[in-house]
Amino acid sequence: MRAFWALVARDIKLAGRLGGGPFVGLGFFIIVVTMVPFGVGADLPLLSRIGPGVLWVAVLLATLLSLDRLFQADFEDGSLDLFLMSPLPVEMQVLAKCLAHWITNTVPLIIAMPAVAFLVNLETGIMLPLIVSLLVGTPSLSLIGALGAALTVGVRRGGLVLSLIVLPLYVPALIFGAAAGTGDLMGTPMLFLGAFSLASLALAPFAAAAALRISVS
Amino acid sequence: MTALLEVSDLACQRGTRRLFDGVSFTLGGGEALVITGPNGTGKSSLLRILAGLLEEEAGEISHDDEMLYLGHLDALKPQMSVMENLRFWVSLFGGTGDLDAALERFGLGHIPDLTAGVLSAGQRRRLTLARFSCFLGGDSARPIWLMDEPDSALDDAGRALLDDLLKEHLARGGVVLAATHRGLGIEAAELRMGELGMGS
Repeated sequence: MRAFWALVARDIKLAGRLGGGPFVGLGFFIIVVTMVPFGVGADLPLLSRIGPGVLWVAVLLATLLSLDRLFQADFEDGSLDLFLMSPLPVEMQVLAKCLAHWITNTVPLIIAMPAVAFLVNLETGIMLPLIVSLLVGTPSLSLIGALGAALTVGVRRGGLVLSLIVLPLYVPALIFGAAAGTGDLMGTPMLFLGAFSLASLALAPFAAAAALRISVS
Repeated sequence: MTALLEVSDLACQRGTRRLFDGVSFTLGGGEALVITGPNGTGKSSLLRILAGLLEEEAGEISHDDEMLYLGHLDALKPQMSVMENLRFWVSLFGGTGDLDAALERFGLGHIPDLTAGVLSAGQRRRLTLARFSCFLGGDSARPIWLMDEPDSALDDAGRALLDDLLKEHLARGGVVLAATHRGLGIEAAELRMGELGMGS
């Protein structure tokens, strides 16, 4: 367990020290949300209707932006070889990296969400369900993203391939997430969203670990 | 003497090319094997197969003990300090060695807080060796050391430190497999790649 938390701490530390740190994803998120009123026009009822969906799409894209480095840097400097030989199971390492990715990339977006929500005229009443839906649903984005990142780790400019693999898999999270963001806290969409996150928690680490083992050989 | 590492009839295929086949050897505690041979004859691939990072084409590998691997790349993060890099790898592998003493031993004791990004190639290699020195003995010992050109980029003093480290490891009953072009200053059997009817 000490090794697990050592890996989480290392990835958080590294994320903070990379150029721009967590602010790159955050800035991207804010800009995407800002773009929508420019494109749709100042139709306030329309904006507030599409608001939860827009925020969910923006979170999803901002998450995707940081995913291609999840294993890439470790692959390039030889760390991945050592990871695969370490006593900590590779599946646990994937979990640790996903946890660190979620904390450094997604949590700042959720914290910033109330501040940018006024751009899409979000009703204050659905702020809480939307935040809960993001907390429940976004871990699946990191987990499924880890699978895509593991599959494309040896691919030059794998970021684009990664998007093609991962985005279709994000569709259930987006559908249930945006729906849960408008409904009540324990409604059906929220339960499905939670189920989707749990399913990806159960499956994605094994798939990603298998993909990593293939990638280094 | 019981064997720590037994390899029989190992073969490696990369793409359409058979790199080597029929590689067999047995190493007991305290024994070292130096792997030599021209470039492209499979020295690194042999080490990667033993490390479990590459699939063998044929043959058997048996060992009960834990391994440590040193590849071409140093696995150091340029954004983290010398000490942070060392501490991370040692804790990931459950090592218990004294980190300060390890840095001191390899001539890095005066720069624990320097970011690894500004180290020279030789200093990076020394830091990697410091990592190995944390797994010498005790509960956290990893007896089988696989080293791909451990002497690259090292100066004469660094090579002497490497030889000392390997001798200490062997004296404690460890095993060393090292691919090298210049030879190491330790007693070792030699496996010459590219000669045993391999290739083609």
